[in-house]
Amino acid sequence: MKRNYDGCALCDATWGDYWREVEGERMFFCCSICADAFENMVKRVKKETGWGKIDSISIEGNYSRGRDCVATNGKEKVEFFFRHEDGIITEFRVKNQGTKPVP
Amino acid sequence: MNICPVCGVKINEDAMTTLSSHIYSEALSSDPAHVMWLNRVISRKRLTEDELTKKMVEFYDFSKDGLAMWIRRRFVERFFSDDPNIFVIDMQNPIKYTIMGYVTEHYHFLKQWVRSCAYIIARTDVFDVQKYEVDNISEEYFGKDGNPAHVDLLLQMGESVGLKRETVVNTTPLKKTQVAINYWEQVCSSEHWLDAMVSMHSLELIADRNVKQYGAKYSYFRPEILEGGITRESSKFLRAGYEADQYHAGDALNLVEFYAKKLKMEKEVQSYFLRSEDYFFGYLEARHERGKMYEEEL
Repeated sequence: MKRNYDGCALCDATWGDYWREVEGERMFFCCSICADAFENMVKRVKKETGWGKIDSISIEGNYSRGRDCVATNGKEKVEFFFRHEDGIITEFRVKNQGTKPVP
Repeated sequence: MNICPVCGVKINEDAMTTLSSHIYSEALSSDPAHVMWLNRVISRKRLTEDELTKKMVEFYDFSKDGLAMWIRRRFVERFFSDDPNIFVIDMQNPIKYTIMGYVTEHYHFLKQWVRSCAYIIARTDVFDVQKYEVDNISEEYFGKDGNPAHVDLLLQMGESVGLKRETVVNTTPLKKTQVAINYWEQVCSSEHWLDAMVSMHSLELIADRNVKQYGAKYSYFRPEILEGGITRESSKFLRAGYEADQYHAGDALNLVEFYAKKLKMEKEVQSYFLRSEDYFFGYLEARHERGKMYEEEL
């Protein structure tokens, strides 16, 4: 899964040393809460879109502000917003969903 | 003595290296609370232990404009910055459910407030501090200069948006409110009275009308709403806090600064302040959560 962060898959921090397999890929997280939030967010995206896989996720934002994201699956794209609390998704809103323009 | 601003562990050495070493070691083991604190306060990029110590020395340094102003600036960064607390966002345009959530959770906060102030009175010999706290408690429960008690104004604000007193009094607080109340109960009943004092009275900065002077992007609410857009009772409650808390917090922080210096407790006081504002942050989120619950229910 392509991501926009080099550090923690959710928040880009490079503290901590927590690893978890998500969607068959071993990913780095700064802590278990970020791992829970990321994993739950991926499940929610798949549920909302009906996709069987996610090719990429781009995340902008933080805990207080919430996170604006873009996920893709082939030519499909979904833009969404979410917040989490202790790793559990408390707010999830699809903002836009459609076909990704071919570059 | 060093107090960890994250977990409260007491470290019987005064050097910053011992505190930063503790936090560093917790971060290496991916402890969520310590990692989140580092991400939010120090840096999201991992540092060496020496770099972390240096950053923490800088963070705790209040030599520029004093301890009270350091507290004000930290509070503003936490609650009124570009990423404010979600309840602060709610309060920019409060709706009926915002007020209902506010009243329900705040009632429980106020009861703890009075208990906390009473602990401070019981645990100090300083006359100025006792007098300050007696005045404060009196205003909360009995009112001052002919004005109704703060707790009555709160309940009247609830009634003005259709929230019965019995509902407020009989509703169990949400988890984050209860966790925060338990924390303040523990600190005020068992730690030094000055730690208790900074833990409680720094929180009054939430309603300080001067926050924009300390770099705030937001204030607690827009003063215009006092003139319209909310019920008359809501305006009365918010106005009372707006007009009183700047003196409350200012006077208390002056006392804290004076006695922290005298008792050589500055760093300890800073850490207790940081811990308290974390619990307060969660408590304000509970007000938002309660408002959302009312909105879905009614």
